[in-house]
Amino acid sequence: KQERLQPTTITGIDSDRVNELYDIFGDGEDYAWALENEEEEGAQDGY
Amino acid sequence: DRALKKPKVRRRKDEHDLTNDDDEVIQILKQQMENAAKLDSELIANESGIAVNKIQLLPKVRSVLNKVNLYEVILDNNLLAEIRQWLEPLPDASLPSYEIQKELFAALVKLPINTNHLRESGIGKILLFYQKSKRVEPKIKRVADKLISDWTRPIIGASDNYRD
Repeated sequence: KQERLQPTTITGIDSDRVNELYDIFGDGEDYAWALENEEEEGAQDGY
Repeated sequence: DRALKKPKVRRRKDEHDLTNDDDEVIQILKQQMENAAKLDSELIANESGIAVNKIQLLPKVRSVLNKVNLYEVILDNNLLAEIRQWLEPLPDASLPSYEIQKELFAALVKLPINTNHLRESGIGKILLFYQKSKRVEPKIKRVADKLISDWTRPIIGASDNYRD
């Protein structure tokens, strides 16, 4: 939990609101698997 | 094709019961969207064919999403969950077709989405992916940026009417 990044937009607001943001947008890990190979493989559009 | 078949909307005896009919339309569409997404994912995962199920259902999805009088029913029934599912990367990490992205992002801009809808559907999580991915068309990325900032504002703002 603690390794979450703190985007600049959410500094200075209370922790309830920060948690709310994580609730709604996640911590960026949900689809990280699909971002991993973007550098090497380049654009691949599909279905 | 099964996916394209129009749902039979049963008229109830009670003429005033229009809302329930609308609910039913959305519930049927949710089911069809979920099936199409699963079929496409399986086809890609098994490398067993071309994933066309979502794109075949798209005209019907578009026609429902274009009905302003259904916006409330769409959100009440959490169709955003299926919209999220349709926007997700496929098992080979490819993105859904640009047609699908364009149509669904256009709907997201128009729907009166509040924080509860976001929490319920998880749609914000896929939006974050579109913001991050290098493979997303600039036009779509701009919409993703805008939606994320629109959705963030009421949470970090002074208003706390989003609370339960």
